[in-house]
Amino acid sequence: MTNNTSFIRKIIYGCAIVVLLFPLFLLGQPATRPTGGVAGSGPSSGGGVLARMRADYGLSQAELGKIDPASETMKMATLGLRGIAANILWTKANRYKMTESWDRLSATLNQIARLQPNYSSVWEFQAWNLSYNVSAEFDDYRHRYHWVKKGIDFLVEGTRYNQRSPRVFWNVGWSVGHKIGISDERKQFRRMFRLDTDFHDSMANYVNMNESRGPDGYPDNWLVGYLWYRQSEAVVEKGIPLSWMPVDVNSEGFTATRRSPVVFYSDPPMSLISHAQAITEEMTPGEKTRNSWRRAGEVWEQFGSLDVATSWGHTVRLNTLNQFREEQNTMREKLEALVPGLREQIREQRRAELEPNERALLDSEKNPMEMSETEMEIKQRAIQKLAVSDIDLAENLPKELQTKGRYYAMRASEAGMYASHIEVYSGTVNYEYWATRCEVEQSKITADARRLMVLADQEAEIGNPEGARKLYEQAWDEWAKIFDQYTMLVHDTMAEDLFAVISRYKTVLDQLDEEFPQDFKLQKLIDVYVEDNPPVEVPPPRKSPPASKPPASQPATGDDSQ
Amino acid sequence: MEIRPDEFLTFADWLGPALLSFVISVPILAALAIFVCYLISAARKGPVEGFYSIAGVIASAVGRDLPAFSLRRIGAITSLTVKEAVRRKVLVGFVLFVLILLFAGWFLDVKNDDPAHLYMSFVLTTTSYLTIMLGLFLATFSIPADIKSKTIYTIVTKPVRAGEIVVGRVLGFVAVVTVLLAGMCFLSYMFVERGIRHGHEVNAESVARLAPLAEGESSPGWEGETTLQAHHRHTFKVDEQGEGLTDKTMGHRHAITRVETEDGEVQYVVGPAQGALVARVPIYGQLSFLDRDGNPTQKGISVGKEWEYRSYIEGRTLATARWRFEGISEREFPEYLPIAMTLSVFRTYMADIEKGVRGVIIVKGTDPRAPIECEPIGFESKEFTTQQFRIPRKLRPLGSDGSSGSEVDLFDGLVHEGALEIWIRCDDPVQYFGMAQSDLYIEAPNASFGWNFIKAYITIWLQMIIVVSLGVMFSTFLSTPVAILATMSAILLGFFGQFVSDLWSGVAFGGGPIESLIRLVNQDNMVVPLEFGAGDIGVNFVKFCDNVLLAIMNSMSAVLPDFSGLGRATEYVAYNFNYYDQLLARQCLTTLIYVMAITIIGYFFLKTREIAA
Repeated sequence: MTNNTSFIRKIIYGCAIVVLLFPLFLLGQPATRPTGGVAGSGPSSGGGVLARMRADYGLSQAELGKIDPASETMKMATLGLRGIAANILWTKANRYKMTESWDRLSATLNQIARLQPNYSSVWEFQAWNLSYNVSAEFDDYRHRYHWVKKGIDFLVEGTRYNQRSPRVFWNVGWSVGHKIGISDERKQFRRMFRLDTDFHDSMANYVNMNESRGPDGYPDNWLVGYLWYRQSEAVVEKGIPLSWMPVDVNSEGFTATRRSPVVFYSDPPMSLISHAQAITEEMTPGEKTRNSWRRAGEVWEQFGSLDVATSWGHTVRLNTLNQFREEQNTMREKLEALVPGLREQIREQRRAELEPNERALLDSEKNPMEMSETEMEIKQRAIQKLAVSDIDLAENLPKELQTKGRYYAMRASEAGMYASHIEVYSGTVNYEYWATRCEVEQSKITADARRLMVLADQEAEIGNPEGARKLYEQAWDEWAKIFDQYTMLVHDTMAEDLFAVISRYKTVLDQLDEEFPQDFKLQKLIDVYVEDNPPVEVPPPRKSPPASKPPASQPATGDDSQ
Repeated sequence: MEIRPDEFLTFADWLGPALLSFVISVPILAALAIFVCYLISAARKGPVEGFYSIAGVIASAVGRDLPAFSLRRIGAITSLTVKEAVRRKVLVGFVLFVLILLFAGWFLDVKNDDPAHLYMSFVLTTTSYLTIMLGLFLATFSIPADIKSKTIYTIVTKPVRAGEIVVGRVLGFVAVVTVLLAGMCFLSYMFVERGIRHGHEVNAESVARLAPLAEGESSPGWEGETTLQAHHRHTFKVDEQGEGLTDKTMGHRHAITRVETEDGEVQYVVGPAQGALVARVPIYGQLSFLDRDGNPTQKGISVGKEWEYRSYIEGRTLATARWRFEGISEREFPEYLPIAMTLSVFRTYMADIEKGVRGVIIVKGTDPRAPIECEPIGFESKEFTTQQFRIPRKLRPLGSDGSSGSEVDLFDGLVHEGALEIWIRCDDPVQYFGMAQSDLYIEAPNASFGWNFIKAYITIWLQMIIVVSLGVMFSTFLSTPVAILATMSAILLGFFGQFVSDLWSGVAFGGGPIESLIRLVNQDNMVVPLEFGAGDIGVNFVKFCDNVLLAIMNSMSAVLPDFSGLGRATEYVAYNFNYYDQLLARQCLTTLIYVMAITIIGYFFLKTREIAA
């Protein structure tokens, strides 16, 4: 009897195990990749529920062939305590950073990343840590570059696990572009990057490095950054939202802010602009630099043609600002032309209807700064009463013209609204300025002006002030023409750079014992620069400390070991 | 590498205070233990009976068990313990270690800047944790299992004493784990050696003639770069004789030879990696400072770094870091004095980043009757890089008016009674050099790396012996799970004694056990004031309880062995520094004392238990 019961129980257990295997299989079946070579002609499967969810949420190890054994083993070895293990490793990483144990820090970060490979913030935060914080700890710029690269390598590794995260790709673009191209050591970093064939080879697994070659034939960091930004855009184009840093937590989970699309899409063309700027500084300006600016201008224009979503619910194109302004003006002109002088008549009529105190304040020449708050309010109210909008104008037209008038007024108002919305978004990325800058820089006259300055600097350096002065003055002639045509550039960094060259011109004049010309052609530029950059009061210098005895010998050539 | 202040002490310097503390603490602890035992016994049997019971145990221990201590019986128990451990599949630990080594490549950062360091840290740490766990489980399972299965009664009916059982068990487990540890040591060495073994070839296209040093001179040799192997490549220079070295990348160099065959073909032979597995022997000096006005001071200034290991001297001032070395002999350094230094650099402005911050090395004589200061030797700093210099035998002294005098001999004119001073100053205004005592040292000839590696394993072995002793001791009166818990707690307190002490003294944030639990639940960070529903009274109560708990933990960690100190050898070996024999001797002596004390405690517990049984 007992044996029988035991046997039956075993049969029941066996059946239960078999039955439970089915839901287990449905839940846990791994996905398989198509077999049959690169083309993948063989059968494939999406796997069980968990595998499909992993695929849906972009956890890249959803397929058996893609599983990273190290990462998976580490996750399993923590026996469900992955969070605690990651916390301990983060604490260790902080400790290693504090105690300047860089190789241990780097090893620990790798372990953290293996524990949390699909948590893109880990890759971003720690890559930033390496490229920006750790690299800055080193005195030698070669070491700094090495750690900047380590951070970038780390992020690139992160893209393998986060194929659906535009931000990881974007961060690679940012680090390659900005960290190498804008830091204090950019001159050295850019030089090292150009010649770093091993780094190029590792990048070539992800982007087409042939497309990143600058005018000198070597890969340029800004152009590599551009390619990574494009990859980030490609991820977004697959339908992944531009979610950025989570800012709030609600009952449904994270509420993510969205990165402004206009800023996101401006990064690739800005990268090309930065490239053009960099080579303009590094090379003698000419056809090659003009070509770079031309390309940057074209891509900037393409960016301007993009339909950018706005918070008002409609899209805008940044390069249509003038079009809308023109339409607004045309419609207004047509409206005015229906009954010429009507707007002024209405205004006069309203003026007559103003309260005496309103009229008195309106006519008063009293400085607004001296007015009381009440007076200011009254004056403002009066001004508002006198304002005749296009709709007001249309309403006051003779009856037979009112339909047409309302149509013109509505069109003008609509065009004005779009123009102002475009201006808001355009201002965020300084669209108009960069469009103008690209246009100016690709012109022959600017390239010539810049080349003349470079030649003048060279003459000054070899001790030929007379030759330098002539070249500088030829350059000022060219610049004067440029600034006359593009007045907005006077307030720009371009003008700031010129100010430094003008200082060198002044030095040359001093060497020739000549006064700075009263009728200097770029005097307006100097005036604006001085107005924008008032001199800072410099504190008196400290007493110079006693100098130690000078070294007797040349720096010793020590045998260095890291 | 960070060196702890107590590690600069010699064995003789350490022994005196350590012995004094031992002599004072042992009678106190013994008296305390006897008193506690008496209280327990008195509670159970009454004050008089309790006293006689305790006195009887002590008398029996001293009068009967100690004189009759038999090595033969201990040997028998040891042999049985070994057999028991083998029967319990202790080899699984070894297999696990082999498996970890086999798959270690997956988890290690193969692109690390110092792979040898990483590999050594990895194998030594893994071995340490594995052997501790192995020792812990073996030791805590044995006696409770004997008691549970009643085999202990078979043993105690034989003429075997409690002390012999405890010592036999400890020796048996130690023997088993020692054999495993020896195997692990061998495999670890192979793993590290194989991990860094690699070769390069020369990238023929990169080879070019070196520019002549002066116009009209011939080229001094060739330069070029190697192929990319093991995630790195080297640049190299070869002289006219065809001999050269690569640069140091990933912690090593390669010798390189240019060979021209008879038919004019040029070949480059790249040797194996050098310098990755060495045991540097630093001779440290005593560091003191002069402030910016040249007055003696204990420390340099802080530049605001969180880690205050190094302090800084300001450039182009009289601020100086002074190292005083003792025991330098001509016999040891007949040709020159090799020094190595790793300075930290802090720039307050960028200056020319193509160049390092300039500094000077000044060699100072120590004869108080005629202190000689030599002409400064200039250098450019290279942060996080060990710069090596050779102080020549002949140096030119500097007169009081700044003029140079005639040459003096390093040992005849400067070293006085074996002492010499080396001063460092920063030479660029408003820039800073940072240093700690271990950042400048005299380099004695390297020791054997193999022996250094073994020394690290000896410290792991010492750790294991303590763990086994603790495990056996706890298992004499606790059940297996409780004994495991107790031993684990002792190990944890041993590893994190410094942290407990920092918590107790308020240096570390986060509070005691209860406060940290509340913070965990509330997800509060460690520095915000503690708040929870119970208000100020509740907070004060929690802090009071924590203080009591921390006081107990702090006292216990002060008595328990310092496991983190034993683990320091790993750091030394991984950073390619020789682990001093004197430090090892200290560790051995400390371990011996601990093991003896723990064994005696275990003996008394088992004996009392036997009496109770």
